[in-house]
Amino acid sequence: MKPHRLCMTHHLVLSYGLHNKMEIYRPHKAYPIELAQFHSADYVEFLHRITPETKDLYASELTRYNLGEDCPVFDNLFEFCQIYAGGTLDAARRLNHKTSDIAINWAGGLHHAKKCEASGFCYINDLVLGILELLKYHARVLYIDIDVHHGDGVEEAFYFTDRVMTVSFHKYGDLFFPGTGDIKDRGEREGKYYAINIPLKDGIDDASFTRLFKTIIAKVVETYLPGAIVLQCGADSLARDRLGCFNLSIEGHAECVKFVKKFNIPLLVTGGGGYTKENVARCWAVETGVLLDTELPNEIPNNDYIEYFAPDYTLKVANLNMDNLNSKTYLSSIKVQVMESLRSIQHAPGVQMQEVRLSL
Amino acid sequence: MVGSPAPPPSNSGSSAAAFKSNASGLSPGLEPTQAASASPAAAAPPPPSPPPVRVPSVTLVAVLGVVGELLARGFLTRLEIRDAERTDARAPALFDRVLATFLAEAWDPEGASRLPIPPPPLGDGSEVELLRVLPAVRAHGGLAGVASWAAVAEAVGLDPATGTAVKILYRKYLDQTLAKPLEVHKEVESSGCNGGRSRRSGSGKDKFLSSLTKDLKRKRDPFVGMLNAVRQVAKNPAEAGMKNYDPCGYLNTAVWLRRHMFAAECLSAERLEGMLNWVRHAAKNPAEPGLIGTDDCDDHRSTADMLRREMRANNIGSASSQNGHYYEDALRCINKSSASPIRPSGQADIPEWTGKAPSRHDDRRALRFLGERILIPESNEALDVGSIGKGRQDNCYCQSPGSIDCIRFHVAEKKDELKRELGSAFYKMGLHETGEDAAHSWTKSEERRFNTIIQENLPSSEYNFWDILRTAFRYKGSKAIASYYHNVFQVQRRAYQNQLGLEADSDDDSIEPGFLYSRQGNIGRSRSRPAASSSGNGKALRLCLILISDR
Repeated sequence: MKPHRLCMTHHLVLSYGLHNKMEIYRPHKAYPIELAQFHSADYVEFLHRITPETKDLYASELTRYNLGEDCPVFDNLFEFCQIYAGGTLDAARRLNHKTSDIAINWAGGLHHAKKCEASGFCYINDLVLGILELLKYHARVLYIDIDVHHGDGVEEAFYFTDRVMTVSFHKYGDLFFPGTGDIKDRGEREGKYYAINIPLKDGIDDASFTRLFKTIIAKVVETYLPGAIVLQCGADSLARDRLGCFNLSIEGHAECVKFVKKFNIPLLVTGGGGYTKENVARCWAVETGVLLDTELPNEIPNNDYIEYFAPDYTLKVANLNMDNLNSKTYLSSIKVQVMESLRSIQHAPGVQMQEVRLSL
Repeated sequence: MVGSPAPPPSNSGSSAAAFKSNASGLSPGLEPTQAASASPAAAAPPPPSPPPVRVPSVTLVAVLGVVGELLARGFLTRLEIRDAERTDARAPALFDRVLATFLAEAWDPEGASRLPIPPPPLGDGSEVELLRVLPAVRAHGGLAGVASWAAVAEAVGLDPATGTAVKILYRKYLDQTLAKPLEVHKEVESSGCNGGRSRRSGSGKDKFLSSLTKDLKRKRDPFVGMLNAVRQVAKNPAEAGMKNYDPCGYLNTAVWLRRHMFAAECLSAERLEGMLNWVRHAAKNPAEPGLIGTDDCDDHRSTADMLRREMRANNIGSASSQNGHYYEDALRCINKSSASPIRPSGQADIPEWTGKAPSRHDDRRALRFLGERILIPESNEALDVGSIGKGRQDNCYCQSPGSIDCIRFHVAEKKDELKRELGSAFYKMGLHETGEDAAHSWTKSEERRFNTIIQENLPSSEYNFWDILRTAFRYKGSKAIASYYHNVFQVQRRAYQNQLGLEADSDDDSIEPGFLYSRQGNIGRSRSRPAASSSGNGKALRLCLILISDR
């Protein structure tokens, strides 16, 4: 995980002059008590206290909270969490107070963090906190996740409720992290059918992905009628990502963002995964442009990090020459299953559901 | 002998003896109910005490055991068990009724109707007796430990091919409802005492039964034993201050009891006051360390939650789903507090939706947290469309276009432009410290030292220079070191690689030795004053500047 990619993104956005079309805010640092709106108090307290110097004294706690390996303890870890979580919280509040229609926090989107433990370099789940904030003003919130990894932390947080519908497109199988997100996982109790998982195989390309995305999201919005949408734009679903295995170009990825924007529903956009720094910066700069209805010229303007965009200094990320293991039949069957799931939600929630029949 | 229950022992030490004396397992179902009526928490009416006419079967005893367990936990208070049902033949039907009642109480009434009891027949037409499934699964090691569901199916008298169906049934009916609370409870009771694990392994229905019986006996004891433990603590608070001094889970039970009492009745004055003071303090000092994470404040929080819920509940209309939510929430709270050693589930606490958004005035506090304004565009009409995203121009007039210096110059140029445009926002965003400007706070000798440290500790597979850097530049702080590394060092390294036409991997942090040598020579050359540069490019740079001003 390279937080430096955020510097690079912001520099690109500024050097393209996009600050002339939007307002820029510095978030407050989220207070521990705000973080504890979702996370357990002891976990937040531990994150607050632990430092690289003292971590060796707390071996058992480190294990309990899953810190130390994938989620290392580093200097100013808590401050880092406070800043990015504060960003998503402030973004959600701006949407609630209707002072913004779209709010972006590229530093957010850490969707793996759980209530009592860190996971996948995510310590605090800013998305859950943001959604909880939105739920104060909206009956229903839709969460869309196009990171290559399953949005497990967010799905788990809202698995039993119908007030949040979580939709995640991700790679599934071959022991790919985090291992959850099967199409059969649909939510439980009141949240049954309010979690949608689209498991995909390696190498999905722009055409297949965007087609599937648009069909499903259109139906979801039409059926669920959310008051607000939270979109996690993990850039590891791009081709050539260090950890990802999809074959999307920036155009394909940004197409999804464009599509969601068209609904004109209050929208909170966050970053997420992305492990090839310069491609992440390119992707999120382009998507900032998309959200501002601005197409950016291909040549990257001079900025402090221009050297990272060598050799051609353009916004293009070339696709890979790899096989798309998602056959038409497979994608079609996924679509059918998801549509069937959506049919079970006849109206917006609050209506009695059908009796569950034992099916074998 | 069968008809008269043994009196509850008066001190905790006799639990082992009591088990032994009741090893035959006769009429255990009666004792828990007696314990239930003796405890202050559960308000179970004393059940009828019929004399069974013959020795009850293992199955019936198991059912009665479950009944007793649930009664002791405060469920099934309105369930009437008739004499006629306490027979072997009727045991399965009784179990079904018990399960249905428990579901209706533990979940909302609509939830109970979602799980039809008895369950519908399997694909091959055979009916499943839930009562037989429960001990069979326990005997095979519980839900997680079952190796072969076909074997479980066989044990229950079904075709082994229906193993998967049995598993689904178990998960739907028994795991979520009965087995978990029982398992949880056993974990609370047995932690530290007798190593509960050995009790749960093993096979055979009698093992299950005996462990359940033992559990029932221990269930009765805690209430008396717990009162003794609390008395002990009151007498010797220092001794009992050690966190681990709670071998039989009495103090956990005491806490659960107290919470249950206060949840059901109105809150005591001191508790309310304590909680309100804490809330007030938290509102005034949200950033105070140690504000959360202590036992006290968890108590205050749950009290505050409960109070708020109760207050809201009185204003909510009679929409059944909302009542169901509240009921389930409250119960979940009670159940959770009784299962305190178990990790809480990963779900978020969803705020109540009252049908409309809160008024903006109510949420005035949130207005403080909308972010600090850094940059607002002046007006939308004056926007020069061409000024958005002007790409890099490759037709500069530098002496060696595309060289490191050329690039550095143009970057500096663009940054100056941005500074003029952004005004104070430029500094608020920290742009004066990014890129090679991060080197401004470093002297030439410091930069050389940085370079040398890396040179002498060239990373092979680990970045072993970080510790040395941190020690050498401790006075600068780790933020400054990291900033220099990423903004100056790595950027220059990338520039070097680009010049050599190397295929660069942005995540490969290994460092080419040639870069370090060339860097030593170039340290201290300020980029932001290109006109004063002492390199041979000086003349070309001036030309560029003039050209710009001509436009």
